[in-house]
Amino acid sequence: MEQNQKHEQEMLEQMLKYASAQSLEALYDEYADETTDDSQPSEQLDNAVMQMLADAREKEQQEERARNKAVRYRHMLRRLAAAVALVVAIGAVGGMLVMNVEAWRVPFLNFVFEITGEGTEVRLNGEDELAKQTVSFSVPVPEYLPENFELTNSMDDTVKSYLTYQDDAGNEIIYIFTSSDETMWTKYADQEKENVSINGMNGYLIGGSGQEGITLIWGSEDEVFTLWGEISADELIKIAESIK
Amino acid sequence: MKADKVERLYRKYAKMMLCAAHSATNDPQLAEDAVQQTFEKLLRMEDRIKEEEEKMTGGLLILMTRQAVSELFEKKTKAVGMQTVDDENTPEAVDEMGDILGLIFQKDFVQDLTKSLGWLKEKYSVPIILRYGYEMNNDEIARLLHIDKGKVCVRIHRGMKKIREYLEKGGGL
Repeated sequence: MEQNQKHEQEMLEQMLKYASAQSLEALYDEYADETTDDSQPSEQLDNAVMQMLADAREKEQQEERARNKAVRYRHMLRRLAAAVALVVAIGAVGGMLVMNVEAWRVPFLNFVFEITGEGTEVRLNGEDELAKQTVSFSVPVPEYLPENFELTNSMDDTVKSYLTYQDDAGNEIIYIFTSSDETMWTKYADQEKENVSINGMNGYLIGGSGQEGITLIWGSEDEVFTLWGEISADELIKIAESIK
Repeated sequence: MKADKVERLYRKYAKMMLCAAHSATNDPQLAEDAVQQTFEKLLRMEDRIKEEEEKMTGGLLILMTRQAVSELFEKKTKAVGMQTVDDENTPEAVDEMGDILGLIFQKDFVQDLTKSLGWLKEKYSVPIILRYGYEMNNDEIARLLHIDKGKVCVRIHRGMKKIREYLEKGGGL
């Protein structure tokens, strides 16, 4: 029953649609031939309608301009968001590269960190590319070096800093600075050593002079200094005492 | 642009509309006001007008002009203190098609239905034609005719009732 009624309603709607069209056409036919001079719109009516249409056009144009402005604004925001995303991506990738590649990290950190006297800006000699870089790190360095010794290399990782010095004859002094590491002390447990005190810190002198080299290790709970050199013990101690 | 389309319709149909308005009132100013008001309404529904359907468009504009004459006349009579009864705010059950649904299988139903729309007052025929001829909903009709949505429902319902009376009595009352 409901289905039937629905069909009948749809039929009636179609009939009303048709009847509406027919009714309107009949009305048109009634007046199509009846126009006279009296039915000519007056100038007043013409002006009123034209003014109304002019206002409508102006409003439409304003709406169009507002729409275009909104579209341009949306495009601009999208482009800006894309640019920001690109800059952030480049910054992230670049940052990762800089911090992971040592050759770039050190100059970058030089640029960022202030040197306040705790460390020394070091210029390396030699033809080695690494040696030509200017390195800054906040590690105490020797203020005294034996004659003809110059800094030739440096390296640091997250735990230790290494400096290498050499003279004209190729003799080396190696200096290692690190945070406290228990193994540094136990490493030489079985070796013959002499107790020393450097700048108020306890340490050991290990090995004889000459070609085998001497190791001087001293430090505290927080930091450990190691010097190894193919020089005399006195010179090594003098270098150690100059590290403050 | 909307306004361009309405201007074309004005150039084509204004004379005919003015003629229809003059046949509904002796007041030439009122007739012109009715034509102007009709084009104001047309700006709101120009997208529904198919210019190529000349007769249907012309017929609708004539119908709307005649209704505008009635509205303006009613406003004028109210303004000079003549009371009119506005009973369209009276709530009543609205079943638009229920009144004539049972008659659709009568002989010559469609022709009689067409005649009834021509016979019906514009107040009732315009909303029905906008609803079924132009497939507008009550909101759109209300906005177009500047009346409450409730009045649209009432006018369509009463229009359908009068159509039924017309059909049952074989045309005319």
